Amino acid sequence: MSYYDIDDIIADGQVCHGLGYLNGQPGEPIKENVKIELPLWLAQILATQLIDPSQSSQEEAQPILKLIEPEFFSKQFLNFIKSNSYKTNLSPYLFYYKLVCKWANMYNDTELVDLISKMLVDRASEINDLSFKLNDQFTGNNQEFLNGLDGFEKALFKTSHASFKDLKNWLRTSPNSAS
Amino acid sequence: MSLPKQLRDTFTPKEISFLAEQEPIMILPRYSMHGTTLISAKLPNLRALHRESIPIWLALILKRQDKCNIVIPDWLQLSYLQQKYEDEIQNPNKFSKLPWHWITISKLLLDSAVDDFMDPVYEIRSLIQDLREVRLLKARRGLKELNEVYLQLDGLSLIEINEVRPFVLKVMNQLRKLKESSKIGEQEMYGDDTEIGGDTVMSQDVDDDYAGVQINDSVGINHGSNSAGRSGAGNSYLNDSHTRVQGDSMEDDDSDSDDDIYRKD
Repeated sequence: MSYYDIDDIIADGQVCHGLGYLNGQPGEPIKENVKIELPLWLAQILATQLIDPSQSSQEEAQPILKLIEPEFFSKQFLNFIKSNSYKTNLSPYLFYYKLVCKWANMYNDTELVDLISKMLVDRASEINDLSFKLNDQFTGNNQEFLNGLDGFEKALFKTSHASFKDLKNWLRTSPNSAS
Repeated sequence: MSLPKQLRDTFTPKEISFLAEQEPIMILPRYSMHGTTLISAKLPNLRALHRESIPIWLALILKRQDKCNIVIPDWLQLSYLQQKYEDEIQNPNKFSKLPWHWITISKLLLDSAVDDFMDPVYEIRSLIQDLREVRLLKARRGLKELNEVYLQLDGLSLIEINEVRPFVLKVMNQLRKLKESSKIGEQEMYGDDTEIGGDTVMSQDVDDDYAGVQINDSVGINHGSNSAGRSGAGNSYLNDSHTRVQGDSMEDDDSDSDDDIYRKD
């Protein structure tokens, strides 16, 4: 496995058959027009990779696969965010905002970015409010909202809460207690 | 560095209190004594009942030894604070001018120099608490207008900025990343357009090269807009506070340590 090994480079050009393991059927080739789930990094590469027209029946170069809009970028989901960004449950997606970045980058989707930025600001200010209060976090809507945070927002809540608490504790210390 | 993340990013209240102790304050010595030169400060010759200005930390030591009285600064008088409180209520979109360390100094003095206050101490305490709450409420309302470029914090004191700093940095960084992701896209589109004009054949390689150049471009442009935001920050007397927040956020950009810690969680 060396950079300068010509055999190695040629071996990289070996056509691979039977990528079915990506689809849970090892050994079999993936047929055309099949829906499969791929990790984003792989899907991204394959979606931008063009098939050489001379090797396929189509006249024009086609990408190896087309991405289907995932559920969390569907029109429905985005409309839901538009209508009420606090009620949106992002907890199933650990990295929602990072996903948005990558997705927007692939599709130049400024509209999506604007919408999500607005949602982030709305939700963040709510998070900030809740992180300030000491005991109001576990009632009704607040509980529901806090359960629907994605990974980034949870970390945000934690840091914000810690910094408010720090100051409160410090203001409460008396000079005589040994510091 | 092995310091915990929150200690690297921001001050603890104790550190701010330490900074505030460097501020000068008037004292009224009870005894005459010779001055000395210390590493950070100079204690002038003290004559009984002649006012001198010395750093707060020194004043507090002398106070503890009953060697001086502290002259409570004007802004800690009840009438002044009441005035400020009215101002805060009447201008819902503006912070009134208070000293850069007002919370910290008032705490230090209320803790150690209670007997030097002319006005009832409990009233001052509660007034300061009220002021703090009104201002905090305003600050938090302001956070609803966050954007990725800049945040104006005129009139807030260091400790109040420090309180919201970790939150603001995180959100602004995330907003910037979001905006940037689509900005690169826009430039790519722009690149493609000019490409079509000049050269009809577009191969994958050429495209890739363009993307590389454009990423650099967009970083440059973004820095430009950042600094534009900074210079346009207005000429308020606490402009300092504003640049401080922004400086930090740019530091955070360079080392993406934020993400590393995040993953470990």
